[in-house]
Amino acid sequence: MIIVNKPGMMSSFQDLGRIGYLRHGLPAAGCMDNYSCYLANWLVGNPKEAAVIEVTLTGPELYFESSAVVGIAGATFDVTLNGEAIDTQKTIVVPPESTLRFLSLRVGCRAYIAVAGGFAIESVLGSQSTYTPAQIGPLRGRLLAQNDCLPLLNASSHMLDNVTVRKIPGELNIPYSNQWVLRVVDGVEYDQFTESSKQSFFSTAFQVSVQSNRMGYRLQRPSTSSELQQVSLQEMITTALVPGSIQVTSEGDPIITLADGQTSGGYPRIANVIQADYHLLGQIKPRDFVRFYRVSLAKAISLHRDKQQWITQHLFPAG
Amino acid sequence: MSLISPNGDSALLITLGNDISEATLRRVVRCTMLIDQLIDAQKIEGVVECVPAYAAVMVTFDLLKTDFFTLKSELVSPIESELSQTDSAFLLSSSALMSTVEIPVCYDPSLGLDLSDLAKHCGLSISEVVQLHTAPTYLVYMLGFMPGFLYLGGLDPRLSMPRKKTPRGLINQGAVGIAGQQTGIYPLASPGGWQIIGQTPLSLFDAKRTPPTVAQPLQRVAFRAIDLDEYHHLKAVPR
Repeated sequence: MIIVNKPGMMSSFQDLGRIGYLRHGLPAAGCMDNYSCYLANWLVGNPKEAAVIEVTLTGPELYFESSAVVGIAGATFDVTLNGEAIDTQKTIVVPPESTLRFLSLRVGCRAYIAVAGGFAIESVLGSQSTYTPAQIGPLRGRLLAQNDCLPLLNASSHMLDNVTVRKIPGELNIPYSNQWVLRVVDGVEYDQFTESSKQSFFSTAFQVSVQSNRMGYRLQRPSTSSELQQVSLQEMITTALVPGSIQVTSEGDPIITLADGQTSGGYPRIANVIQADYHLLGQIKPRDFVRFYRVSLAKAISLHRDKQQWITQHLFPAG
Repeated sequence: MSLISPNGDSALLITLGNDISEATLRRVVRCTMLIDQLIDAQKIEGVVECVPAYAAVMVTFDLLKTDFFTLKSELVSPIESELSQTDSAFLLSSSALMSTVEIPVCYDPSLGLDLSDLAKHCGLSISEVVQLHTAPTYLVYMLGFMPGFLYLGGLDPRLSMPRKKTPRGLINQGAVGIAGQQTGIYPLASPGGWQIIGQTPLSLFDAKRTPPTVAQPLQRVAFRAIDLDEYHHLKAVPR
């Protein structure tokens, strides 16, 4: 059992998302950064789809009644175990009656906490992801709160002297900063934008607004740059929307749809973040700067496949 | 005839019209059912979800199993052949879709916060508003915006009223409203600018129900006026 002493600003259970309900208006939710979820689960030998705790900007303080094996990945925080600083790049062996405390955030935005064997939490519509707007998911679909008791699946069966300690290969550490380049493919309505708007979209460093959350990131133009415009203003028929879509609002600013984003939308889409880069969005903080780089669809496909292969090679070297 | 285009690198869009009409919606629903069948029969691989909208179907897929080019070539001819057939066979085979879903709505002014404003705006009495709102059967075009939210067509133009200038900070779950030519129900409590004329005790999205939503595209919905007693009774009874 884990007891939540302090929940952190916004901590929730997430897995790879709730699949199959877009047509009912329910977004998939799930980890904003699936890549780091994978690494955290790998550190403790879990399957990559196991539910983890996603923490945002400020981390929690967790009290472990019994022993556990823990993995942390994603944003880098200073973390202590019973008051001692620990290396979060490695599998963490937590003795019984221990306190794991997240201190300052160094880089990134979201960290993921996995526990070997997983959490004994409710699954709703086939997923343990939390979608707070409709209160769907474990903990009745809400964020972690103080004094929550989080039961573990293999509570007492742990042999702490027999733990495989893994370390995240250096090659897999993605350098985070506050300046990001996201690769995109053309959006469905790309051709409807003026030439100067397209140029400005690819040459502008947009700032992520503080009004950004798991539903979407609002981006702000520098005051010198003009609004993104369509050749002719046409009313769009509401259509289905996928995470990673970059819509342009009537004010001429881009919005990136994310894990909790609406399943339908009516603003023109200038571009879509490619799958290979989508996980980076989870590490972008409000006030960070984002630029977009255009690639072809064929390139986007190979980038995703190469990246998945590269991850597998480093996590599970052959032989 | 149908236009298959990429929607990012992990989804595609099948555009089946450029208007909001029942004819276009039928094509959308037929195309959705066809793709569902192709997935069930394992004739196409890697598809994650198929999502109908007003005039297009979106298909999302796993880039490690398929891609736009593969899926497009697999989908083109089945879709063309399906849509080349007339609607009549489809209509016969999908009679379940043709049923009307009844949604109880309490139009008591204590719940319909903007009912008297709307009546005044439209030059009608409150009972005329209720009568005009409960008379039609509304066509479900799509679900989206919020889990369980129904995009409905068929509002009597006499009930049209713009959104509130200043949105309410919080609208109750189940609130029934009007915004311009649209009528709809808030499945969740949320901020919003719709003119609220009533409240349903029904839950529009319930994870314990299969399917979790009350109506699907191409189905019809009718509102039945209930009084406060029945409203509280229905709200207390788990459904």
